[in-house]
Amino acid sequence: MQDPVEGLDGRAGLAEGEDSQLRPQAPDAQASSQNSATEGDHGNVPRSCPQDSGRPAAPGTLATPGSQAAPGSPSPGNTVGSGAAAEEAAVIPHSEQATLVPGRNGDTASTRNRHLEFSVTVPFRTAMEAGMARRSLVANARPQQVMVQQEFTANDSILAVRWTTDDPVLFRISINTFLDQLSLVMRNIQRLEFVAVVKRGRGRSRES
Amino acid sequence: MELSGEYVGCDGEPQRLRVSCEASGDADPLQSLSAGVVRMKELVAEFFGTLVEQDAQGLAEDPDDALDGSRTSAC
Repeated sequence: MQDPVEGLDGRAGLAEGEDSQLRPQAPDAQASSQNSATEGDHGNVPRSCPQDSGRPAAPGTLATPGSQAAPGSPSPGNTVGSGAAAEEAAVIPHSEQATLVPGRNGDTASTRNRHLEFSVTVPFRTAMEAGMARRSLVANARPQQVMVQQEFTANDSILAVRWTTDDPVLFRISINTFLDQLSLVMRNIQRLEFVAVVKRGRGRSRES
Repeated sequence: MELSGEYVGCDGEPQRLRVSCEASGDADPLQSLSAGVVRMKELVAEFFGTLVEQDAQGLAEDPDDALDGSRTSAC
């Protein structure tokens, strides 16, 4: 029973991350992102090179993706739908904005752009624990944002983390670092609980 | 209670890693989760170790493809 729920949370988390990514962008940047997404949708692997090389040289090439941007109108609906849930998402932006586009088109675009994705879901006992972990891990992850894109999402008591890169070696380094830090965070949570229990015990002894 | 990971490669096929974190008896659930994280680290190391080796072997076995890849990158 938990698997489907976790799956849905994971998907919502991805949408939240995408929404958070899109919000800070200027309208021009969003338009260019949509154009790039359109090109990514229609271009096969052999064709992607000529299109990419032609992009800066020929303004006419940009006009075609602009007209094709019309099918992208469902995206705002998706964004609105995930707006509320996006409050729980924290995204570490990648230095190259172009790499943000494939995520909007799901697996197909990711495959075409040869991006690799890895996600982990961690089931905490309470939403508070998940939130504490997310805040701690986001701060620790910032130094790595240059090479690997990371998205942290807390939905209720589930913490979801997603990595995107094109280098499996970076994957291993980043994920191992995350898991090490996660262990430390959980240890700290346990210590906080222990301290709380001790304080309660002292309070009761004083009352008696 | 399950700690899960999912990898999606270039082919778009998802591969999952799962670690059960059931607390037995009076065991602390958070302690069980911590043990699960340790186990997940082992699985990740094994999984990506194999993946990196496969990539390296692929590049070594197909030097022409590597050159084609360079040309594609140049485009």
